[in-house]
Amino acid sequence: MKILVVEDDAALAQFIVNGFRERGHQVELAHDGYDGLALAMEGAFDVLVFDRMIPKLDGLTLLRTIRNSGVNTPVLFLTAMGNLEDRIEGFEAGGDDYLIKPFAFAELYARVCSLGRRKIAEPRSTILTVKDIRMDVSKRTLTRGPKSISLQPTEFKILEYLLRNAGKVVTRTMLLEHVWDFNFDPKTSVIETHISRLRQKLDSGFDEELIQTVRGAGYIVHAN
Amino acid sequence: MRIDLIRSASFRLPLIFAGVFCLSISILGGLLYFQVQHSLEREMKDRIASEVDQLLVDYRQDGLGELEHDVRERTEASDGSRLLYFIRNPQNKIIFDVFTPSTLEPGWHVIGERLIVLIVELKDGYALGVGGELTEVVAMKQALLRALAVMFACALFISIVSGVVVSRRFLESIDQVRVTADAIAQGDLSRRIPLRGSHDNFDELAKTINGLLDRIDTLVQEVRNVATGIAHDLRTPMAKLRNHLETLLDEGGDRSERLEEAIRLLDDSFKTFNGLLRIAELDSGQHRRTFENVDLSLLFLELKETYDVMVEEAGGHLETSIEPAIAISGDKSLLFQLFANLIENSLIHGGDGVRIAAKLYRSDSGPVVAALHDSGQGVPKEFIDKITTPFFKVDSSIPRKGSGLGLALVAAIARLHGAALTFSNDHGFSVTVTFVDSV
Repeated sequence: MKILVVEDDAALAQFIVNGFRERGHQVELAHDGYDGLALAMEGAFDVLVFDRMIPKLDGLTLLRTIRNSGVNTPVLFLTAMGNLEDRIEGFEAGGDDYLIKPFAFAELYARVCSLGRRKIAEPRSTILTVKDIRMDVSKRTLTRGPKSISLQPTEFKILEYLLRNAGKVVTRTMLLEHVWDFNFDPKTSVIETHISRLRQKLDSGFDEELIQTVRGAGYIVHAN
Repeated sequence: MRIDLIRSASFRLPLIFAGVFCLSISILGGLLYFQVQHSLEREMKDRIASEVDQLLVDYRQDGLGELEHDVRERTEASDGSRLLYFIRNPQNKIIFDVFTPSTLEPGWHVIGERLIVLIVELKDGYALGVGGELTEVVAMKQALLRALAVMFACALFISIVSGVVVSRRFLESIDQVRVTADAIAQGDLSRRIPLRGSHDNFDELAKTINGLLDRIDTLVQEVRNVATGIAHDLRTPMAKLRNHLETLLDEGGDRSERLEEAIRLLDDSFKTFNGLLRIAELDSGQHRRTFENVDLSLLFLELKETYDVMVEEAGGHLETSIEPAIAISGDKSLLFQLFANLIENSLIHGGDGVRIAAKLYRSDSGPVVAALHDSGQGVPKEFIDKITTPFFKVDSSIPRKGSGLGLALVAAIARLHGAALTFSNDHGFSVTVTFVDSV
């Protein structure tokens, strides 16, 4: 992927840029809003990562400007301000995702990858096939190989999200945001427990573990 | 807040005003009526008395014969407003009458409301009676009564109409204050009471309240700025610290475990910090602006779906009793968080094999009630009022299980939704959330 990062804090900018480059992605860096605008308008990026508080042109105004000019590249905001108004403002201005500092790089990476994939406007398919798994979302059926597997609604939604992001790391936070219709922050290991149950049902009788844990990041279902 | 029509001041005030006004009119009308009646009767009496005096002068001079002559002369006069006479003999027989009274006792008598009579004793047992017909007085009294009735009806109508108009204006001003205060309580601190431009007491009151609201707005902004400043100024260096630790971790080596632990401790601090900021944000009321209709019954089903597996893993059981189609105005995410926190609280403190029961119903008196009960050991009675205090621990010697903010967040979300929260120990631990405004 080709990523643009607009961040005025040199240390944080370097941390992010290094992280993406080490994983084989191209990254361009701007330290203020004007430079960021000029680069973004060239339109050659898969994902844009803006800090909200940047000099010369703030992140929100930068976003509104590029959206008004027809640039639809997905945008992820980084910010130290996490209150409700700020989040709503960010989404209303055309932002696609939001990450509050401090964050684990793995979280940022997983979300950027997810956004980057979204850039290709795929119609939302109702049949998902990954390896020997076949899920029919409209009929709510699931088979692995010849075996039909029955899942609880939450387990179904978790697996659907993992399959739609096959090949990408899905973090715990991303699961919480997408599987439930609302944001909630559990203190217990409820996600891990659901994943564990899901694994028992999916892997029983098969050699290969479908859902892999990526330490320090989240979960992944490897694509074919 | 709805106000019933009957209890509303816009119904009662005009009624009271009309009632007082009409009562005053009735009293005045009554006084006028009796005054007129008394006056007319007095006039008649004076006339009769004067006539009797005149007749007695002649009688004393010239005796009974002259009296009879005088009386006959008067009765033969064709004057329509003449008086009526009779003379009675010692044997109680009427020897001259134009009318026959029902009583012959000396003194004043009103007979059948149409006649007023004065009877005087003469010498030798004779008696003279002079009377006047009250027909005109009665007619005048009836006309006065009719006029007073019309006046009363007009007064009633005018007093109700003017009462409604006046009290409406008065109550509009009060209602404006109430509506503005309601909007502010819902989180819109920008609202102010509109001035009418009449420079009267209401406008002065509105100006004073608006000044107060300006001050509150300024204070809230200052607190927000401080919170935002703290958030930004604490988060930024903490973020940098975390980034440094992650970079060191990525470099590998034998410090990995300690670095992971350092990152974990930092993340725990962030969670506490974020939890406190969230509670402050909830108490500011700004979330109320995005309230929508939330199907609580569906939410409870999702809660069961989410936590069934966890309770089973702990060897316990989660039972629900959910009345269908219960909806309230609120924030879906926050409401889910509230009940998730309560269930997690039961899981953490209830021990292995905990049995949790969650009920959702609309009470007989109207409000929606959500009740959770677990079979755990509960909380000592002396601490029950403190458990929603941030970081409160029942036993400070035991390490905390959890963030210490779970119940504080539950209380903040309940407050935001106007819900009452009660805790009790009864064969376990019970929590009841009553959505008071959901009637």
